[in-house]
Amino acid sequence: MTDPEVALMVAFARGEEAAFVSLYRTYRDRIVAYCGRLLGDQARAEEAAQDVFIKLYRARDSYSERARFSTFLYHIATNHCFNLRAQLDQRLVERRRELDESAHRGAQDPSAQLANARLREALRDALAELPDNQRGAFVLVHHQGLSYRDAAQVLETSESAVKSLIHRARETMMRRLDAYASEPSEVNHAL
Amino acid sequence: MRCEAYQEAWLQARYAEHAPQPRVREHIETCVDCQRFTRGQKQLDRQLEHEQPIEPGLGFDTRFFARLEAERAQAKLPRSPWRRPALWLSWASLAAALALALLLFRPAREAQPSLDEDVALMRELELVEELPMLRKLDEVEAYEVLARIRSEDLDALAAEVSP
Repeated sequence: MTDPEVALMVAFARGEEAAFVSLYRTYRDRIVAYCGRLLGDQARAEEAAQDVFIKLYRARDSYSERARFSTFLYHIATNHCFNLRAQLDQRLVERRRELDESAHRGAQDPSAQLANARLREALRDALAELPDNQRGAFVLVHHQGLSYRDAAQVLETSESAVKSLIHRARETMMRRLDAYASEPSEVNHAL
Repeated sequence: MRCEAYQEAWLQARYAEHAPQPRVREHIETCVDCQRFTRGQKQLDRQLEHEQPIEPGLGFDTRFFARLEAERAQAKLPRSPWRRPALWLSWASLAAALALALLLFRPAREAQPSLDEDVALMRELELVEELPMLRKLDEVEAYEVLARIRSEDLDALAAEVSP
C-alpha cells in the first residue's frame, strides 16, 4: 500500500510513538472540524475529537492495512459522533423550536450583521437536524472534501447510496434555509 | 431517468469539479423543476460560505497530550489481578466447591421439627390464616388468658359496669 499515512500507522503499531504524533498533527484540525459539523457544538467537538485520537491510539494493535488511513480515522470519528448524537437528540428538538422563533424575529430585523449571525446559526441547525447518515455523507463530501467513493467507505455503504444521501441532505437544507435567501434567483443561469 | 437522478448526477459533477455529462446538462436546461433545484443549490452554496469555521481551541494540544499521557501510563500498568479472567474463574470454581461441600456435609437436622418452628415458618410464608389448626391454637391461647384472670378482678369489673 502506497498511502504514507498507512506506513505511519504501521510504524506506530510497531511501537514508534512519534508516528502517532505525526498522524495527530496531520488530522487534528480536520477531525475537530468534522466532529464540530456532526455535533454542532465547539466544546463537544473538541472533546469528541480527543476521544477519536485516543481511540486511534488504542486501535494500534487491531489496525489492518486494508483501507486508506483517512477512511479508517473518519470511520472512528463518525461512529463516535453518531453515538454522542443519539444522546443529544432531545436537545435538538428544543433548539429547533428556538430557531423557528428566531427566524420569525429575524425577518423583521434590518441589521445585516445580525442577519449573518442568524444565517450561521440557521446553517448549523439545518445541518444538525439532518438524519445522521445524510449529515455524515454531506459533511464528509462538502466540508472534508472526500470523494463519493471514500465517503461510501467511511459510512460502509455504496457510492450510489452516498449520491442519494447528499441529494436529500442538500434538498432539505435548501428548503430549510429558503427563508434566509437574500438574493433574487438568477433564472436561466442554472448551469 | 427521473429528475432526481439527473439532480444527483449534477451534484456529483459539481463536487468532482467537472462539467456534468451532456445528457444531464441537456435535461436540466429544459426541465423547470431541475432548474429550480440547481438555482436553489447554488444559493445554498453561497449560504454555506458563511459557515463559522471550526478549529481546535486554545489549549487543545495540552489537554490532549495530558490525556494521552494518562492513557500511556494506564497501558504500562500491570493489569489488576481482579481483571484477569483466569483468576476470576479459579475464584468462581473455589466458591462453587465450597458451596457443594456445605450442601453435602451440613449437620443433620432433627427428624421431627418442633411445631413452633413450623408455625414460625408458616407465619413467614403468610400461610397462617389458611390453617384451621392455627385458629384452634389461637383459641386455646385466648382461653389460657381468660383462665389467668382472677375472680376478684372479675367481680370488681362487674361492680363498675353495673348501675
